[in-house]
Amino acid sequence: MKHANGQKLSPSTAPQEVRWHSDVPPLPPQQQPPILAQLWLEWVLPPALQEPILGDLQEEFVARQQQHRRLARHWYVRQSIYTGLQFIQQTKGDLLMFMLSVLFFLAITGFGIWLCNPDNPAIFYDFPSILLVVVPAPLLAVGVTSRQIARQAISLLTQPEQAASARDYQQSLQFWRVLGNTAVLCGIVATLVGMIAIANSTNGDNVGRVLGPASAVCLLTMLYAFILKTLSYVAAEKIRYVALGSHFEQQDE
Amino acid sequence: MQDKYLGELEQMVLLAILQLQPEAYGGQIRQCLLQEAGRDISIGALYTTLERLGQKGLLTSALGEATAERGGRAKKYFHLTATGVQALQRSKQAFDRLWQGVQLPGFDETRRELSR
Repeated sequence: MKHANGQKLSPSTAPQEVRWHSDVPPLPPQQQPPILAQLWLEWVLPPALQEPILGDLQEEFVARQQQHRRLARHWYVRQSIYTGLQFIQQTKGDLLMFMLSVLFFLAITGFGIWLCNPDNPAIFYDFPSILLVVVPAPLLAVGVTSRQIARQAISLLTQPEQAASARDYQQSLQFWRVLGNTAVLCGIVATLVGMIAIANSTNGDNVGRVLGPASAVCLLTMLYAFILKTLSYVAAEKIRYVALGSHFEQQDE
Repeated sequence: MQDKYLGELEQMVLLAILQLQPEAYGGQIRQCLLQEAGRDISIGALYTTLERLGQKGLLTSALGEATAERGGRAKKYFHLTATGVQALQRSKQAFDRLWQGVQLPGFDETRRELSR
């Protein structure tokens, strides 16, 4: 076994902290493995195994590429998929479970909407009502906190394993709470505006024809607001759970 | 010692590491398993097995050199611990005992047909 500088090493005495060798020239871009497959592996592999696995794959890829470039690329992509699937439960299990639960909630809500009116589920869609909740709530949440905290709050959800300080967790938690509460308040305000408009335009002649459909559209804003509130609540609780885990880990150390 | 019994792939990986010493790293082990045992496993499956064997205390690892072909990334060399060698010996003895006097039905006929 040799080190990058040519020094002989035995396995037992090889350094444990060799992470990156900037003195080794990189391969030309046309000989590099598929970049998306590499990014996928970097995302899914545990940090300790990224260097050896990506190195082993690239070494064999370079050897295979000399025989058949296209087949080598196929081989690399296949290996990266199988390898990623091998580790995804270990490294991204929490994130997948979180995404799955959110998708399940949205699917159940959609199913409920469909059950209410299978012939015309579009009655639950109203673009202005979506705009009244989905646009101002995140804007106000960013206004109350900051763009950086908003990015950090999303990043802590997608990569909960990253190291973050207690302050980072607190700020991210605050972002999701403000987003959820603001969504509900925007929903209430928009619904009240709608109710006032309905009350103003309703009279004895049209009350039976207008009141029902107009109130339904008006209440859609509240529905969207509470969906956003639910998702924000789940996100905030997820951050709180990750922060607690990190706190207990630090205590154990 | 119940947890020190080895699965088939674990035995193969440990034997490949012994065959390749002192150059046993992921890519070489994978190639060795393919050429010598006909097992074409993904590098992910191999490293999962290596991690498991490491957690059982049957092998240790150390980072080695990097090359341009590896994109400047270091190799991770594996070698067996004394416990790993013992576990391998125990498995071999168990198999040797189990194989003693065993004759597979139709095995001789199949072998004769194949040799024809």
